[in-house]
Amino acid sequence: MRQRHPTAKTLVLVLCLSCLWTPLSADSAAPLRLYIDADRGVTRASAEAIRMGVETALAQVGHTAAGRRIDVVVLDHRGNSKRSLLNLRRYLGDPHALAVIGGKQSPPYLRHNLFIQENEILLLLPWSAAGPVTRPESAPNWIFRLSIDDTKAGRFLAQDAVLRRGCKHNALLLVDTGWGRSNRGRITRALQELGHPPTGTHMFARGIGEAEARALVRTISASGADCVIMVPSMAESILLVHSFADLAPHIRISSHWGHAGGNFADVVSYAVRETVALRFLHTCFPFDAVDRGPFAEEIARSARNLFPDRFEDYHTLPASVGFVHAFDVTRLLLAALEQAGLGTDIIQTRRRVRTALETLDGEVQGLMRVYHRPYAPYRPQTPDAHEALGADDLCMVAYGPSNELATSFPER
Amino acid sequence: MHAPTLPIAKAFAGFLLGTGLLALALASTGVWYASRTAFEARQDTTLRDQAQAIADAYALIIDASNRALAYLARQPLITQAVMGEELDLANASDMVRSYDIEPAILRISIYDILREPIIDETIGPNATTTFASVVRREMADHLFRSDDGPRFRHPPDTDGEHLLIALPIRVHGMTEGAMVAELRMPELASLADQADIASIAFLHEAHDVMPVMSATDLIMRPIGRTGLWLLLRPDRSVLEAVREALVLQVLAALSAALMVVFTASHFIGRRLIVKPQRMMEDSRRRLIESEARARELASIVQQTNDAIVLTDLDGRIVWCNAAVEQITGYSRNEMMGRKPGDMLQGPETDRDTVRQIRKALRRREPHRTEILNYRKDGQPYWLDINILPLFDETGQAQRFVAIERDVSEAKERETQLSASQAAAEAATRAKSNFLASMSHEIRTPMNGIIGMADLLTETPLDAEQRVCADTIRDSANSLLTIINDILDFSKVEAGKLELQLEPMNLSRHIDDVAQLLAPVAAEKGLEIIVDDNINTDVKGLRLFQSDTARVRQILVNIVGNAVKFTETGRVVISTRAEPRAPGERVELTIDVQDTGIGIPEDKLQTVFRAFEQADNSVARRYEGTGLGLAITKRLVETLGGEISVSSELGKGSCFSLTLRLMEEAALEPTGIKPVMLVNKSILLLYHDAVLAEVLERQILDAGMKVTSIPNDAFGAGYDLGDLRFDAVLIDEPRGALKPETALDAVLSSNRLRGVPALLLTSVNRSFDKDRLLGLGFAGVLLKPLRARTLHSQLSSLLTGIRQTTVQDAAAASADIPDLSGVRILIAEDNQTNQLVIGRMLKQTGADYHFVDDGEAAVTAFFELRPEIVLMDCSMPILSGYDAARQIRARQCRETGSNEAWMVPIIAITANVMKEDRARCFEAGMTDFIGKPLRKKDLFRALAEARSRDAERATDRQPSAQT
Repeated sequence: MRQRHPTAKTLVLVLCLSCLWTPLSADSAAPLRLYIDADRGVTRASAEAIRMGVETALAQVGHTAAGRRIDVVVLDHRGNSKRSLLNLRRYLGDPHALAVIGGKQSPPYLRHNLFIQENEILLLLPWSAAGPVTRPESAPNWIFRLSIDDTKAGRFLAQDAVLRRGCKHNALLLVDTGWGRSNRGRITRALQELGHPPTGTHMFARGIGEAEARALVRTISASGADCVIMVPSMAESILLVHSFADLAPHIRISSHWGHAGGNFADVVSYAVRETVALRFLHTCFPFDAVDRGPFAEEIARSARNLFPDRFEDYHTLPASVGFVHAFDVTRLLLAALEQAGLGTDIIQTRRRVRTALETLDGEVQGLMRVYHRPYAPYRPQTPDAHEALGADDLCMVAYGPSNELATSFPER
Repeated sequence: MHAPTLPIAKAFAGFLLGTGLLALALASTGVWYASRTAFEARQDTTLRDQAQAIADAYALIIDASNRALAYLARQPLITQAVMGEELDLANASDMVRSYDIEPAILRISIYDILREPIIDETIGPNATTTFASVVRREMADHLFRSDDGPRFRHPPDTDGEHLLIALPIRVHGMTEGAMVAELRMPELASLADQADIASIAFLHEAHDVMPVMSATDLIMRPIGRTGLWLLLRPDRSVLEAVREALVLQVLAALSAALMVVFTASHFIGRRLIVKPQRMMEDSRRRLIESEARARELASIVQQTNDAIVLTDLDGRIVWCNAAVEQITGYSRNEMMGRKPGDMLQGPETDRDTVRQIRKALRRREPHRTEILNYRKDGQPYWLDINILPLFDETGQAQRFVAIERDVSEAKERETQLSASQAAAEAATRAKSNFLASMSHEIRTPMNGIIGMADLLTETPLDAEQRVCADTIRDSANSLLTIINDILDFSKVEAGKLELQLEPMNLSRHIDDVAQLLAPVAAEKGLEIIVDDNINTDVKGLRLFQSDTARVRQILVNIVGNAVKFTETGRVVISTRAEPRAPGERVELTIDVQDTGIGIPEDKLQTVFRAFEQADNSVARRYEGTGLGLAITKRLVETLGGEISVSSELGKGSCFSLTLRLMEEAALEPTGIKPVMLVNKSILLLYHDAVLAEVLERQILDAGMKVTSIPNDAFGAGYDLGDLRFDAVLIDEPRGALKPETALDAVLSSNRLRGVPALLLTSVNRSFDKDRLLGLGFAGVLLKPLRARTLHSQLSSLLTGIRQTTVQDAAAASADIPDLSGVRILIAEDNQTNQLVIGRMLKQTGADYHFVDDGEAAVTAFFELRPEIVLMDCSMPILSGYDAARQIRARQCRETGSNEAWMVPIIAITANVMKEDRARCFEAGMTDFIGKPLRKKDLFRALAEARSRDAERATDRQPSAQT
């Protein structure tokens, strides 16, 4: 709770500034706003990382693009799709709201996909991985992703488990949500193609308690699995990992990145993590590499300036992937805004920016890579049109002994 | 005069009443106000306890429900559903619907952060919910607005039984949804039913305006920590009613108590205050009244015709009224201070009376007497004198008052009256004695006339001579009847009638009388029907204590009268006995109903008077003395009964005789075995419906069945259906119909073939039994028919066993007895009578001897050893009585046993009175024939004597053998 205050203060400050600004300048000169709709509860770290990424990206351009100041409005959907919907409605009611930067969770945007498309909400997703989110039934597509795409994550996880980790008996353990369910089929198919169909598929509800978690683990252990491919949500993953370490330490865990966004590493110790050889899906960014290139170092410095207390380095920043992706997607948005320019009203501006995103000219330097036409005009026949990253961007990572992200680690 | 009494009584009563009412008013007011505090405190305590109990119960239920709901709200399915997991939503709905772990929870609604209801389920099968969706949503909204834990709500417009509870659905510490549940509080229902609760309300301290805690008439209890308060407003009206009842009871009790006190006070008060006052008033009033009365009395005393004399205790006159002067001839002044006796008594005054008066005066006693006194002029007069002592309050005699009346005239009348009464009585006695002796004197020559006339008619006579002889006989008989009547009447008049009580078979006597009068009736074509309801039991005949001869005489008179005054139709003698308790007299009623000329209404009263017939013209037509009914009435009264008559002119009369007699315990056997007749079926062909009815009853009484058909209706082709009969009883048809005709119809009927037919007929001149039997009748029965004759005839007819009946015996006795060789001694002083008896006995073939006096009779008895003796009672030298006595005495000496008694001695006497008969039997005679001697009577007596002889002989047989 304590952590909420700076955010609230910032928000209030921003709002007050905008209020002061309004009488002095013309309405068209009012700052554009970027809404961040993320869970600031359980996966608060991911939301915070996203915000820092966005802020850092904006800071690079002096919070100004296309001649307009760009402000950030931080919203919290608590992992509740309904709250997310409230946030989206708020965005729609704001004549200066340019775009929404989504949080870690996919469900809000899966559930309200149609709402988003119909209301022309320009939504940028730096983390949400659910495949269908960026693949509406018809164009135009208002949702752009710069993150792992589940349609590729499943296969990647299966290949990694079987081919790299050498797991012959993989149990599937998935959260019983749309995200979990969409992964089940893909992982299962990939494992079948690899010749090792899953020993069992186990779904669990969100919010399960320790008892259920332990029961699940016992069941999986009894099924004879030596590895588990897990698609968990944040809170449950903590329980499950602890339970595996306690009840089935022989089982190694390959996980989707559900626990990447929170304080997972703080509550699950390195010993526990390594007991079950927990490795999880991530985009490939050399968080802990010695040489990450001058741009990355520059951004790190910038971020350190912006957030001296909280940003030390990429690999120590909790949920740092959110920072990286959000930074990159904000860079793309700013580029698109520059390219599109402002419309007569916010609706027009959004439409222009959306179109510009699909047709970005030139190169945009991001942390992950240099983006050259990251998006393309969307049609159902081109499902990856709004995917800035691909299968090549996927890696397995671990938490190191100091809870830092470790891209290199010994395999058990 | 009464005025002063009332105000005191009224004032006193008013005072008491006022006090009572004041006490009632004070008591009721006191109770009313005192009871309020106590009752209300009591009610409040009770209600507070109840309210606390309810509040506690509520708190428990709410707490349990809250926990259950909180648990539900934590469930992942719920939280996920709230947060938008569509698939979870359906599962969550199911989960909620089946979440019936807490019975109080009726409905659960779940709202998402958009404040939309995503789940709304009623829990349990029969849950009825009361809250509108708006209310539930309000609860949810409120929760979203300020999330501070569970909320509760009792809408003000419900009865409080239902409660809304809202609690947040939190995910990771944030309220993501709201759960609103409706709870039902069953305890409230019992509370709400309570009569002394006016209203129940639930308030929430945070949302409702709370009343002041100290408010009276309000009971508030917090419900756990829900912030809800239970508010009870006691209903004082119930209490009011109870209090009213209490006050009424107190009033009633107090009233009762006051009533007692009032009554007691009233009476005591009256005694102490009112009564003395009233007594004073009363005495004053009495004084005034007595003064007035005294004045009235004084004037009455002064003016009355009775002499009133006041004397002192010595008997000296102190005062007298004017009448004294008139009666005595002395002036008042002359009498003052003198003793009345000295002045008024004279030579003829009874000394005894004077002594008694003096004695009474000495003893200060009242005395009443009659005394002969003398006036001043010496003239005697009778005085009724009533002397009374006058006492003062202490009971001491003060004076005497003598009230005297001149009764000289009355005295004289009384003397005359007793003299004339004595003369009249003497005359009556003389008349009766004269008549009695006259009758006796007349009867003796009558004996000769009748006896001779009887004999004369039996000699060969030509027609003219026969008429003469018959006339002589009939006239003599008439004369004898008259004389007998006169004799009876005179004896009754003279009070000489003595009753001879003995067991009497009333039915037999009635039959005998009917039989006796049957020939006369038959001559006139009348039916005599006996309907005996005294003896319906065929096994025996009832016996009653009475005087047989007198009853018989009465019956002959009444029935004879009926026959006499009836020209056509019938005479029905019906009897009945009223049931009675054992030891009581049986009331027997004998009705003699005729179809005769009747008696005019104005004569009904006089028919029982002597020498009166209903009509003088009738008297001319129907000869007689007119004494019959008068005698009958006297006889009936002597027997302790009553006789009355009812009549309708031209239609007939009914004489009702009622006798109250003691009944003998035993029955006289009839000798008929009724069993033989049971279920026999009789066909009765009749011509007289009344007779038929009697016959039917007689037949039914014996257990038989009967079918009755009128003679004229029954013919040859008469259809009897399936009926079968054992015998046919034909009442002799009248008019053109002959017995033969009826018999032919019977014989020609298929159904009746071989069934014996009995003819019921009357003895009349054309009666020829042999002829009738020759026609084919199985038997002939004579009317009037006795029940037992009918039964015995039918018995013998249907069973072939002949039974001896009285009628047979009677029929036999009607014949001339065969006395061939029987020695008969006749003691008779009168030569005429000797001649008559001789002639009569000649027919019997008896060996008879005459003697002229009693002495000769005794001698002859022991010389001749007759088998029967006829003894005249009044003979010279030795009377018949003495002769019989001597014979019996000597027989006893001779034989040493009573066997000798068995030689019958039959008395012949003109003395037909009861006492005469008794005298005969006392003297040792065995039977009795009245004078004038009639052949029938003589033969009957002789025949009976013979038959008794025969019985004795058979009785002796077994003893001789042993």
